[in-house]
Amino acid sequence: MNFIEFRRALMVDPSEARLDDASAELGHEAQAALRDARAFERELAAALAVPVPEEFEQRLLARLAQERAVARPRQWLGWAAAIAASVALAAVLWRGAAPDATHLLMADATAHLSHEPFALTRTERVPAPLIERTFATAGLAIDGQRLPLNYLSRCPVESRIALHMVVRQDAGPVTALLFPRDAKVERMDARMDGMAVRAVPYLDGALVLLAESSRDFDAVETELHNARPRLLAAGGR
Amino acid sequence: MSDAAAFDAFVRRYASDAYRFAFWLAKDEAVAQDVVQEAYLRAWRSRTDLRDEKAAKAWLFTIIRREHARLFERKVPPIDDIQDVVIEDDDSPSAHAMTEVQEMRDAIGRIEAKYREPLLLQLIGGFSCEEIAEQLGITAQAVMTQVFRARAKLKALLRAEPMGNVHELY
Repeated sequence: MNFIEFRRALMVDPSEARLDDASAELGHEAQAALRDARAFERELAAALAVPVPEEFEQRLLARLAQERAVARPRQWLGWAAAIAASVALAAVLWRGAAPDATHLLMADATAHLSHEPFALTRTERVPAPLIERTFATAGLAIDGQRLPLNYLSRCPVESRIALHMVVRQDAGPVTALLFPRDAKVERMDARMDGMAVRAVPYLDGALVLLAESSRDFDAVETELHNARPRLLAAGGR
Repeated sequence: MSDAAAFDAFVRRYASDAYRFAFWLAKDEAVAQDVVQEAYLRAWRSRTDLRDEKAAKAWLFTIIRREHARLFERKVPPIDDIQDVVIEDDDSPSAHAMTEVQEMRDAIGRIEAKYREPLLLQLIGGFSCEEIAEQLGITAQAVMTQVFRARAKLKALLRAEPMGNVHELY
């Protein structure tokens, strides 16, 4: 290995053991270059080692445990929801209406429920700071103290990302899927897959509410409104 | 060991590296957590695809890269400057050392993704150039060029030098 090859190898992978022997053969300048390169690598490794959030591993394991707990029913529910969404869409078509964006989003939202059925069983309240952080990642500000959520997650729903919320009400849990800056819809109530579904234009996008009954939809809309959600100028990610 | 227990051990083994890799892809803590969680869920659902345990980490990192691209790349305009991002690090020994680490982090965030990604795979993933080449679908020679240029660009940024001469050897 000549000195040019040595310098190139230092920039590709200075941890290589063969560089020790090569530097011994090439002399002091090479040895100094090797020391510098490895010192730089230590700085680089320290910078890359960003702190991992507290209890991150435990949260991953808990999420996997939920996944396993619902896997079998979900498989069945997934088929059922897909069929139900198709039936709902077919019904719309059969009635002669166009399969507009509102109906399609309602069908996607209905199908998504089967992906996270455990969300409906949560009873503890989501902490306000977590609500505010999660909304912020979606490009939204909100007063988390005013929003009594029992579940909150960012979820892929077909080609979109939604804020998936669940609010427990007297008549049972109400799911709210919020698509800020996305999915233009008209206000509409419908039944799909045996569920009440409401679409509402919201925050330059859409809010879809789902529950066994539409009885609590107005109350959930009011609770969300009272928490003053608003778009942040920078947008979401 | 049961299927679930083996997978949980797999989670524990790589969770920190997976998070750090996702963090440097996304340059955002919340996004990194979302990506890693979704990647592990996908890995669990398709665990039967993994026949070679030695390839588990590469497999996980590939899922993270795809998940990051799928969920977020099309949603967020690329931001190549994270000078405003200060990462809290309670383990830092001194203010001076912290400043150096933060300067390096700023520099890492500023180099182009095509150079940063192979470097992350090398330093966080611990993969060889040949393994990185397989993951990225490029040649090992191209990987060597990219990690070479990544280091050169970092050094230039840290010395506030113009980056025009980084192709000197490659």
